[in-house]
Amino acid sequence: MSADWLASFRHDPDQAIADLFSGRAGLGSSFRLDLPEFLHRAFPADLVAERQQLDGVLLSWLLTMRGDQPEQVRRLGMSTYAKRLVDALVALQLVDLPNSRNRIRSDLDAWLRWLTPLRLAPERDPALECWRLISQDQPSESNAAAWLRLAADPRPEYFNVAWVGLKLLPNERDAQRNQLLMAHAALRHAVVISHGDLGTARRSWNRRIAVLRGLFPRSPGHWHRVLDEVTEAIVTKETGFTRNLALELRPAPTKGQSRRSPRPEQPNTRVQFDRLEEDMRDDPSSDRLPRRLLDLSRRNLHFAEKTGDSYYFVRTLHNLGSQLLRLAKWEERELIELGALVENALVWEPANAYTWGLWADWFAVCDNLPAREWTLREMARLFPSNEYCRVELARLLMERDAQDWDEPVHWLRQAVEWNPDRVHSHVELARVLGVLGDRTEAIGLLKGVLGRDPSNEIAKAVLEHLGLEAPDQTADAATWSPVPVPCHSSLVRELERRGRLAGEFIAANVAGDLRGPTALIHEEAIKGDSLAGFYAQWLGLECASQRPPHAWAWTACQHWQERSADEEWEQLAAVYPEAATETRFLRLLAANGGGGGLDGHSASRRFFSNGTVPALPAASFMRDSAEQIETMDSEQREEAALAVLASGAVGSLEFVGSVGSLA
Amino acid sequence: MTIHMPLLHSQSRSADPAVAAVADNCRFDERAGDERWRQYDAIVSDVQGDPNAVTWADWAEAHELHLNRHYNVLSYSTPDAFLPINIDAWLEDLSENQTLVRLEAITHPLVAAAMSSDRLRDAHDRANEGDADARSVVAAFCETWNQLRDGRPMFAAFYDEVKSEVEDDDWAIALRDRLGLGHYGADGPSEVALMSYPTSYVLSRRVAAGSTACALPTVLDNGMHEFFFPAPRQHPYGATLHLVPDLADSLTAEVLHHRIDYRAEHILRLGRIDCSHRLAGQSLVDARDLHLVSLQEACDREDFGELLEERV
Repeated sequence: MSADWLASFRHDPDQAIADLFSGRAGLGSSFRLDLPEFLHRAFPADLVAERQQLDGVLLSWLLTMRGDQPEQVRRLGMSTYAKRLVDALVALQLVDLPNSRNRIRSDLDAWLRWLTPLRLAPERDPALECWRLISQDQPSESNAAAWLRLAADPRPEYFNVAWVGLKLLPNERDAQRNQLLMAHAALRHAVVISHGDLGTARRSWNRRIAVLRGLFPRSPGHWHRVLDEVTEAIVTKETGFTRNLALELRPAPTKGQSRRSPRPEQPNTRVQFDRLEEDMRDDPSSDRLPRRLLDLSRRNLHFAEKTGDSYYFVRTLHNLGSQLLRLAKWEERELIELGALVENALVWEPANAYTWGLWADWFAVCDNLPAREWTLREMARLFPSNEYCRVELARLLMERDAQDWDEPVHWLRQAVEWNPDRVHSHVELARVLGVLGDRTEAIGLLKGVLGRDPSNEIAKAVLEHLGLEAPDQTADAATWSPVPVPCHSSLVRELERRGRLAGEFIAANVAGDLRGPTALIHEEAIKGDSLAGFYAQWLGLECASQRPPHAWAWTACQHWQERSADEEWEQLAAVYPEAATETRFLRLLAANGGGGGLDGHSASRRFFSNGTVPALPAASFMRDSAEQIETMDSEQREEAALAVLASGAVGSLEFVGSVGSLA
Repeated sequence: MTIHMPLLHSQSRSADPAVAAVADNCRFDERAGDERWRQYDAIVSDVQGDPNAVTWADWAEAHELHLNRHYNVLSYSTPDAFLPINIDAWLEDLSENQTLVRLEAITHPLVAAAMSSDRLRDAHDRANEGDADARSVVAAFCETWNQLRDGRPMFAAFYDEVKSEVEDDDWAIALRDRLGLGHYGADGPSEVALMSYPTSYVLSRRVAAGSTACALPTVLDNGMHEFFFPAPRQHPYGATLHLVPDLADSLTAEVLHHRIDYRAEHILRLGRIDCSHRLAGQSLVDARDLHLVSLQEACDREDFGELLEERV
């Protein structure tokens, strides 16, 4: 049936593929099959050379579609454009073309950034098909973290792809690993879709576990052990609703069996952690400390990959890593290994601000201050109330430009406002204000700090220095011993892009008008980039009209600006279940705390409490703000809306496939 | 009717009976109303602005665009078949107490669920024996499958009419042939599922305001292939083209209904079609002509259509 088309493919592969997508290849029963299945039939395994050609041609077709997006969408309409992308990605799955798959896997962040806003429905979601594609033929178990994250998406189709990813994870002949991780995923999903209702969560879990047992028929004792291990890990690490749910789901001990089954692979982390920390205190400059931390972290990472439990890995790394970066002397190869571990930690817990902070510090030690700045900017976007990144970013900007301190002051004021009980940002802002000549406010800030903490030596020192021409930079600023390390990954390029976008946005927004250049925002928004589009929408740039179908912050920003009615917010939450928490927060904010018949305090407890929302970077900010929503003035509400919109405009970087090698 | 009749007339004289058949389907169709054709013609003119210069490839490109805009719609949308634009072909008197069947190709959902056909068959068998966990596996497979399916209309036949094929040892091939699914089994095996569900399940699903649940097939509902044959307006349903030439006068009833979600209990059988049919060239001409004569007799419409034999 497809013989004629195959002949045309052999003659001119690019044209044949273009004709197939456009329909010009022909009419009739041969072309009645959906395109992926047509290709699946046309390229059986024995057509080795043709399959290789197809591998290259399909990838190049996709890249062309990416480059031509505005023109293609104008010509085809968004629905047909998205369908053709989905067809190509499904064809890669059905025909099983390794080169394209590996290329996409190795640059997944860029692919997802392009494809995610193009979602129209579960069956027309190119980003989802991208995930499904990389679930095939996984080279190692390192994707476990990504699948577990995907399982915490409330959309059932995302859960199903995550489950397939975990089912296909390499396991060194031990399928129990997959079962453990799949059960872990089922629990995460149950938490997210239940909105704090134990009955809903239990039903979801029971349904998924029945599927798991059906996929892997084993003895009741086997399942008892697996489910016990998963629930026990949650009980010991989590709090609130998640812990309560795990307690309820924990299988009852069977006759003659103790409550807990041993976890043979569990690392003896606490002891090693304590020993290392003690040695760091005794001899912080010891050459051997970095190597010990790296070895311990690698063991912890291995444990996380087998069990889904990243607690030890991530916390040990950021707790001890941050200290050691300042104290110890690092070799170049050790720094490279640490960078790879940090990236792995961000795969496991992308909403962990401490790990982000460690990454920013790591760039400083690698003598890469631009990358440090981009990382701090990305942290400031993701974590609206994070004090550390704002203070460090302000310091870095002041060091770079001794003349223009508008932006540093903006960051410091924001840090102070959103961290009224913290000291660090208050002291830093006082120091800067002192230099700028605003002694009264500076003294007020320092007296406030000393009122809360009379023994604060730094505050005292700054008070003494007030009035000097340059701020005292040595009081508590971090010091580094730079070891130049090359950092050229595509993720760093994306950090740079985001950092530059954020820089333009802040400059325009702080100035309160559009005097600053917004060329990059403009250029990227026209291409359909979600983050740039949101910035453009907030600033009221003309290019904001080019919105792709699934860009939450971009759309929500418009709702905010147009003072949308309650029903419209509700509709928005239904279209974007993955951003339901942020949408609910904005709705509350728009209604001045009175939305949905709940006051801010009740809403905070119900919707933003620990354990019922996924680990969102803005979770704690939304929780704290919801508590005070009734007392916020309009300017504060505007700022809070901006912070949550920016945080949700685009996810954390997707490190899967491109994390630094630990080989 | 399309403004491109000269092109269709010329293509209907093609030496390739498959091409002539597609042109015939467009020429013979009496159910797709003028407004649907105007919509189609507008897409043709987007592809080729000069109506006198439209080629068969342009027509094919327009067909693809038309399908994507009006037929393969999103799962939560309504395709043209059930919208007022197609009101003349609506089917509103389908009674509830009937069972519908469809033969579905399941290669894509199997790959998406990372499940082999043997594994699914095993789970299906165990589920039928009362294994609740296996039933959950089949239900999970259906969930994944539903998530892959868009909102295109579903062709279906009546179980009571094809019961003997369903019970045949080679049921998959027998049904493929009877339902005119010529694209199954060509160029390699097709994994298939025989789906069966009551009309009440179809009719119980809410439809968008102003739309309907069932319709009669027209050429604009993905009927531009040689194994589709439009039925005269007097015929109560669509009529499938049997792929065995001697049986092409059997006129098995087929209808279109809106998208439904599949459930585990809808999978009646799982199987494989591993051989192609032989309906091509002269046998295609013979089968289509026999089918046409049968339709003319059934509807007392000697004026309907035109025999292929006299042309190719």
